[in-house]
Amino acid sequence: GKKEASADGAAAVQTYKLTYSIFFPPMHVQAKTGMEWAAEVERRSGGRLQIAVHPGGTLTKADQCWQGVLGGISDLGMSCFAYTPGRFPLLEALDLPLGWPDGLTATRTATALAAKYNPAEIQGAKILYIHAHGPGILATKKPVRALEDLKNLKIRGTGLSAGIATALGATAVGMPQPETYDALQKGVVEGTFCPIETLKGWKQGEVVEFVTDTKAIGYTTAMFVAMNQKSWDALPADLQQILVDVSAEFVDKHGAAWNQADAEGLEFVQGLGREIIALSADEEARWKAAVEPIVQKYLAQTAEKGLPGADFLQDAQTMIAEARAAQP
Amino acid sequence: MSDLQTGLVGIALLFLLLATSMPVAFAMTLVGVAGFAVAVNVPAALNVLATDFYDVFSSYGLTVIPLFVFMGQVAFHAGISRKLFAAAQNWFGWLRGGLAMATVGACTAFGAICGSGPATAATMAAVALPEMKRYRYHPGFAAGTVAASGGIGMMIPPSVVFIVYGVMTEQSIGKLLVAGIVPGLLVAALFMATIALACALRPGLAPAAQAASWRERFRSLGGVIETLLLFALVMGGMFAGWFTPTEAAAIGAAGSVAIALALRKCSFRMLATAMGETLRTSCMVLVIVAGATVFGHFLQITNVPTELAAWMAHLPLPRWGILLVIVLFYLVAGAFLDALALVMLTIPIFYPVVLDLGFDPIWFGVMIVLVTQMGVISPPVGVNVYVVSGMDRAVPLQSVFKGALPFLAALIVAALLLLAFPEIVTVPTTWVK
Amino acid sequence: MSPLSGTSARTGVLRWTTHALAAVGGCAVAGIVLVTVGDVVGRRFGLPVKGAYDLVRVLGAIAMVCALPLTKAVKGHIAIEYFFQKLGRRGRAATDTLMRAVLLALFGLLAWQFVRQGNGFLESGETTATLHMPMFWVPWLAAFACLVTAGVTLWHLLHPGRSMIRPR
Ligand code: NA
Ligand code: NA
Repeated sequence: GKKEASADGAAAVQTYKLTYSIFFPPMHVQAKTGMEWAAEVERRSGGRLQIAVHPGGTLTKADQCWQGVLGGISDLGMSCFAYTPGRFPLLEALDLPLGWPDGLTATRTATALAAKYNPAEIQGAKILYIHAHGPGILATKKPVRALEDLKNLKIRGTGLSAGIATALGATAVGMPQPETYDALQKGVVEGTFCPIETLKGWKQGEVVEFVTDTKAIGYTTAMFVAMNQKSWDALPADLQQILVDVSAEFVDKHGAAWNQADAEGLEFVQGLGREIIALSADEEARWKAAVEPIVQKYLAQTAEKGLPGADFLQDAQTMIAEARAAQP
Repeated sequence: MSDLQTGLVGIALLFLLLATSMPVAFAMTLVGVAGFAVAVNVPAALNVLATDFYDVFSSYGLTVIPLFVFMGQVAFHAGISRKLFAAAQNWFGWLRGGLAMATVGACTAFGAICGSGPATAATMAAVALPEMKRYRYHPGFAAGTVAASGGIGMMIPPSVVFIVYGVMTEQSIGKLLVAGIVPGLLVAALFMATIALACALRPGLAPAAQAASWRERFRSLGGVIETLLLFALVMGGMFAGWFTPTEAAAIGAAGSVAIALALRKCSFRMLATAMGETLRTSCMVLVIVAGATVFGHFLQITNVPTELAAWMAHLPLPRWGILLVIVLFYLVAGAFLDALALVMLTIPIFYPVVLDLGFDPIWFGVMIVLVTQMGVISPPVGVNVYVVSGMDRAVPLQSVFKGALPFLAALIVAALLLLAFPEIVTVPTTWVK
Repeated sequence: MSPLSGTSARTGVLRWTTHALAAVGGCAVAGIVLVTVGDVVGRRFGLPVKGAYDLVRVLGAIAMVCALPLTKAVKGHIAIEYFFQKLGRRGRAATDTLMRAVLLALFGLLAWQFVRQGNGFLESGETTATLHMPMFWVPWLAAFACLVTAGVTLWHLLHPGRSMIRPR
């Protein structure tokens, strides 16, 4: 951040200029919500905090964003924890296929749990809040109504979604998101795991035929909004408080935006006449059992590192159950 | 110094460093790092250096560059491209500039396989440059042809820029990809006309050959088989859904080695030579990309592109005047920034303006790609020109720029045609369901 | 004669290292081809190469990093020489020396930053996405390649007008 003192009448007013790198393209609702956050901070500080937003990964790309915040390339950053695999061994639990019901629940849970555990892996930066997308669904060219239908089906995925696809008996094919449309169209892959929002955002709904509702094993991708520690420390207490306050208010805004985006995604694929397949309760239990080894692996790995993975997971599952119970 | 001033001083400094014969890639890196240090601070600037170089070197999409270049090198060393161009010479040699026109055609076809402009330029430089030289084409003209034609592939699917544009503007990607094909072919046709015109005005550019007999022509067709096989493998596999465009590069490399083996032209020595050339060329290209990324991040932090774009979009000009200014902006900015970064940065600014003025969104997307195509061959930082010049060290950079100049004019004509007849873009998109 | 003249032992070591790195880079490119072909063929039978995406990225990085000294040694980087050629003989020599010294510093800086980046990967435990392969050694390799490239630049500084390895 840069400090600039300007003589404003008699009293000298100190303004702080911050840069904010967001990996979402500027027209994406989450980038827009991030920009609203920046505007609100600026408004409440009376212009003493100015935030220049660089969306679309134009300052640091998605997988450079965390390092960029640590190293001061940008003062603030928004990206996915999962883009730097291995760096966040405890928070990885958030992305597990735990059956997240919706984006708002995932967003609230993620922010609350990161604050509660405040693990060593996020020290070095100040986490302002976390948001997370709605449950990943399975979009395919052939109908998937049972686990058997997935056998050897080529599913796009890297990292966690590749692990889920493999655990379910599918063939995981890694490729970047921009290539997925073409790959689905030509049949290089026959399906993709993603939040339903992606089918509209990346237009992949145009080139799939079926959407299997896999909420039972719904995974998410947690995304940090983090600040460089030195830039944070350099701010006076009142400005820090503004950041904290506005961030607290924006947790639900991001969560609601994810829910809204998923609703629009669903509307989009329905408008295209795609079939939405619901899984029976028996079938859901089989899918859950199939991905259970991924959860067990997380528990083993955190235990090995001496991290409270079991507690963290228990808390997450409790919050998911509560949210599900509260839903109609 | 305000950020904007820092940015402008940085640009001036880059020009100065370039003039000292400092390699382009490192000049951009140095100015980028120094500028970032001034605009932010030294530790952040040092972080940018390592982060950007590592990011470019470990980029999944950019691996197509070494792979396609290797394919081109093997095709050259195994004599595959020699036979292809011998056939082209037999068929089109009677036409002044016939081989250059064949090169335009080959680049267009290759663009259907490859989505990267520099990769197309590097591959075609390996394949076509030695052959045009063999038939005594003017070196600068030949190199300029390859540099310019290397950009045609950006219009023809696969094209990542179109996909990103579609995502950002909520346009159907299927329609956008189809929209690029006709203008891409139009550009190819205009390039061929440019070659004919240039050769008519300056016969020294390309020597005339005696027309080959029909017997010779058909006999030479046998030499095209290997190339057709390779093309069919890569193209067919992509359309059959066996592999992605990025994977196609590796399949093409493997295919070229297989063909060389079948021709008994594949020795360890040949492969080692081809690989050495591949490493040298791709490293040169990737270091330029990395340098441009560092420099681009410096410009980004100073807000120069964004502020310039915002200022231009709101000039008090008539409809076509604003559009012209936007086109001019992409032409200049395309010289310094990667096409994708540029689209990301400026679409939010220009897109609403363009919609307000009543232009078709898909048409505008095609226009942007067309103009970025100009950026890769226009001085001072035309990536394709650097790539081609780097592969043929006998041709100085300025003669490649000079050789590409007529094609720049052709691209401007193409832009004017699109402006006058937007139907060139919009009609084919109605054929998509 | 300079202590680093054409046939000296140090030149020999530098040349050998440059060629050795290039050989590693060549193998990495060949590796990308093998991994991709294996994956494309394998997945038709439900037997994909696990983490092919990760492997291609890592191999690509190795290839390009290892090509750095070779590219420098054959003077493979593109420069605008138009204005430079208009300078007098002494002007050219001075500009050349100054520019090489700056480049030497740049490669040193890059090497240092790559070491720091590798250390960062080691401390934070960053891995590849699917194979969970540790990544710290890739920047370290890059740092080594940058040091060799700095050596090549120094050789060029001490041997004006010559290429350490003649381009074909
Ligand atoms: Na293309
Ligand atoms: Na240019």
